[in-house]
Amino acid sequence: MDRTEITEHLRAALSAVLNKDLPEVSPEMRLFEDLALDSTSVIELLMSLEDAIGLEVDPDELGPDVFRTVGSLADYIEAGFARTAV
Amino acid sequence: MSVGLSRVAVRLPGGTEPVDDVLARIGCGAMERKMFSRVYGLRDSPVLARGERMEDLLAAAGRGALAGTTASLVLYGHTLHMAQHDLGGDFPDRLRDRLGLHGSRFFGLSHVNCVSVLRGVEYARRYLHRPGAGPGEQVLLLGGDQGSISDVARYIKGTTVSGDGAVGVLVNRTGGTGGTRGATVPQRYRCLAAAGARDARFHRNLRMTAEELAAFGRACSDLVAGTVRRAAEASGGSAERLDWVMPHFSNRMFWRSFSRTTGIPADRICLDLLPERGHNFGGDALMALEHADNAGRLRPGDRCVLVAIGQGAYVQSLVVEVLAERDEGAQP
Repeated sequence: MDRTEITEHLRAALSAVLNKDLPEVSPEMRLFEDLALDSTSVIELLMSLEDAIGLEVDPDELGPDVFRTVGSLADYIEAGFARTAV
Repeated sequence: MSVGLSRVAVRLPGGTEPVDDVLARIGCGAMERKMFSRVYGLRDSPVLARGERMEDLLAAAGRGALAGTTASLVLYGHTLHMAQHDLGGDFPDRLRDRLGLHGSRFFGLSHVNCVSVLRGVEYARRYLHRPGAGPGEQVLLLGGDQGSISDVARYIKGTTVSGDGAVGVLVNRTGGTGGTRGATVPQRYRCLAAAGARDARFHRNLRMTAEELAAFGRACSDLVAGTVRRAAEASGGSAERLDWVMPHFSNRMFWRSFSRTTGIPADRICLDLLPERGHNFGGDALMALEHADNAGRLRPGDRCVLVAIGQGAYVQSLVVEVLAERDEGAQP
């Protein structure tokens, strides 16, 4: 899955968690400050991505850096797929 | 703090219920249910079996802690107000009868929710140092609630599910040999220092909005890190030098974050019981202490911080040092 597809899945998942349509997202968008997510809803977001795109989340790896921005979350997802592909 | 604690007596009910069943009954969505099991590590919750009563667990925990001795004061730390309803107005008298503590005073503590049990150690210390107190007096500290009495009361959205369980521990100034009436129970833990905190912005408790709940989580994280640091420093050490953290079993994610924030390694946070026992109101930290000690993980001289978090928000951290028992040599 390439970066564009990941970002699109992320946009759709964010729209579902926030319960409002997000026409587009940018990598600089901050999850907590700009999108008003909290730690619980971010975890719910990852759980939904597990179901939607087969992402495997290791809860022990989830640090605050992952949840900083849309871009950092996309990095985490991309790295996860890269590991799975090895 | 010039008081010590006996070994902890834990009494669990005969039943167990999957946390996911509770969440399904409440109507939680699939994602939240998955989050509780995958990320929070909450699997089972102890519940009273048919015919069991919470009062029986509390009496058994009390008897276990007393070990044949007596106490001049009983403090019962609880979170739910069920104690005033199900246990009934004559509950203190019944419990004292069952424990043989007819002349003892009895007080319930609930105003600081799940912090009530650990805060009770401080109240016990004050009582034991009151003018005229005898050196051999003891306080029986009991804790635990019947979470299964109401799904509404046992579930905190996005946070945890609570179960039924009871703990008992004796607080005294000088530990004796135990075993006879009038004697005191040996101290297993010396209380070194405690620190508490509160943030009254969250007084709406279970009625908090989603925004308040999110802010509550962030505030608790800061309050816990702060009280652990203050208690550790007041004990003459530092948070980094603590040997063990005996946590509130709200969920695993909270403690992962705590580990990152404080630099205390995750393997020093005793979360073994979390999957099978989950959260049991104010009894969690004492249950973790009992488990670690019975499993042989504690050595004389080890310093442990016990942590409780209450809705409201309230936090209490208590640093104890493990003492050698008669058949256990002090470690260098």
